[in-house]
Amino acid sequence: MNDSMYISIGSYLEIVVDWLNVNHSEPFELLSSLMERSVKLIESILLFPHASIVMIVFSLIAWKLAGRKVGGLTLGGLVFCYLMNLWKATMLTTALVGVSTVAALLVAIPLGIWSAINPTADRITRPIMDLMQTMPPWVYLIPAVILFGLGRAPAVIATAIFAIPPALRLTNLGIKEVPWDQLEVGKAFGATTAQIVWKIQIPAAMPSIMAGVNQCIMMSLSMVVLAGLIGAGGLGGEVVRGLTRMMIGVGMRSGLAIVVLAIIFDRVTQGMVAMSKH
Amino acid sequence: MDTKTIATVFDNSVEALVEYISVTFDTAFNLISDMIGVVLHGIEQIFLFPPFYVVIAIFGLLAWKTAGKGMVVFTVGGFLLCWAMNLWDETMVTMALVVASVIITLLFAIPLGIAAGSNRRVSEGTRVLMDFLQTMPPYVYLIPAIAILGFGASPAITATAIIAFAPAVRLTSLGIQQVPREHVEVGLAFGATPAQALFKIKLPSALPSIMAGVNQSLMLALSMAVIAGIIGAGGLGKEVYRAIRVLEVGKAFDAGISIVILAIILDRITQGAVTLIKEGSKS
Repeated sequence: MNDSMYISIGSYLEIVVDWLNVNHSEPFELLSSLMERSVKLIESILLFPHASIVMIVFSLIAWKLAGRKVGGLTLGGLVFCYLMNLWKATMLTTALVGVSTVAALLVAIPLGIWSAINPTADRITRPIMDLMQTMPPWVYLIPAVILFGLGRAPAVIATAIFAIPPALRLTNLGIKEVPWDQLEVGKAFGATTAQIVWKIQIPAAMPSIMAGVNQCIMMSLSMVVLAGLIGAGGLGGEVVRGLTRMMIGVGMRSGLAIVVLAIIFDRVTQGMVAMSKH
Repeated sequence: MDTKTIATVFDNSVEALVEYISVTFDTAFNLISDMIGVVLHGIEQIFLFPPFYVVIAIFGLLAWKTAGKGMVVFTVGGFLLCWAMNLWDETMVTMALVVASVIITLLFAIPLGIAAGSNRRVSEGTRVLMDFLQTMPPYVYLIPAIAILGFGASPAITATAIIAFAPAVRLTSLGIQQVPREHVEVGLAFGATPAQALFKIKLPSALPSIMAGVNQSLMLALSMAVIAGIIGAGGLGKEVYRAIRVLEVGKAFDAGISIVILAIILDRITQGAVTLIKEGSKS
């Protein structure tokens, strides 16, 4: 059997992508440079002061948000990353996670609210979310690389898209679970729809939305690490370097730093979920 | 002492430790690696030996039994597309990787889940372990796996099996815990031995939950099997990795589409099986 017998859907998509890249590259370049610059900005903010200042600030934030134990954990974890000579990589990964989480939430929360109050929107988003959650994370990197090239911008964009479904679902769920009588009370007092959404539904849905933020951050982290493969750098880049060059020590060291970072992010945001319940 | 020295000391000691472990337990690891290799090879042959249309027909039948007619069309069409894109072998190799890892993981996860479901102390212990396993990004598991088993399919399967472990344990233990007490009481009153109570009462009634665990495990295993392409496991993951590196856009898309098709088929068939079992246990 020769090659001409086979078809390739990808080759048609390639034509579309090439056409987009040649004729309509402006929106992609705009998005790409926006992401690139946001990451750069946050990275330079995080790396400008001495590491010890950043550690203390983060630990205080963690303490405020999630209690003393998590504050201590954060301090210990960041000192570990520093001692392992991975401070720059850790901060870059933090910046990547930060930018992609914010981008994902900017899409997910409004869509989640909209689909909770509008049945048609719900019917459209639900199957899309089902499909998105069935796809393995890897798959998101392919179109991102092809449209945005290698580097940080495609990593952030693929990560943001990957992290949308849990945040959208949990926002939607939170809004839908607001008790009916609370809405009735609002209506009885003559609140407009906008007022009901902003002043009753969103505050009541806050724990669920925060749980969505937690999920979104955790998924972003796992994806950002994967994005080391497409040249995003940071801890993921170190892991890839360790894996592909058989430098077990490097891989293990950066792997541990990722675990530390994951535990910190998880505990801090879970603390926020617990706080928003009170 | 600056951080670079600390890092170097760390790297060197890890490398020394890994070398010590792999030299000392060389025979044991080789045995494990060989065993995994044999299992994988056997499963690969099951999927690759018959002509593609036989495999497609079998999966079509499975989809029909579990998920209805719509899914048959998708399964047959999807697999035909994988074949038509010249990715049939890769798709089946990935399928074999996923199936082999899930079988290995279930061999450990279901007994542990049963133990955790019947004993409070075991349950506490496993919960802490599972929380830890699930916080770590999947990628991280590849590192110790290649450190000990080297490159290739064996570390890929080991890492994949570890990833897929947590949901299977959790859902098995949940299913066992949710068996109504009266059912077990009735069994014991009729003089069932503990083993009979387990196999004839608890396990059948926990089956929907266990199957839901299998579904979760399969999906996690698939995402990991693809990642494992970078450490030398074959299949679609390797194809994606290769195509991205040489920027063969079309080929990367093709492999991506095949992964999504495989994911949807595996997901819907196992979800269909869950519903089927639930309905069966009701009637």
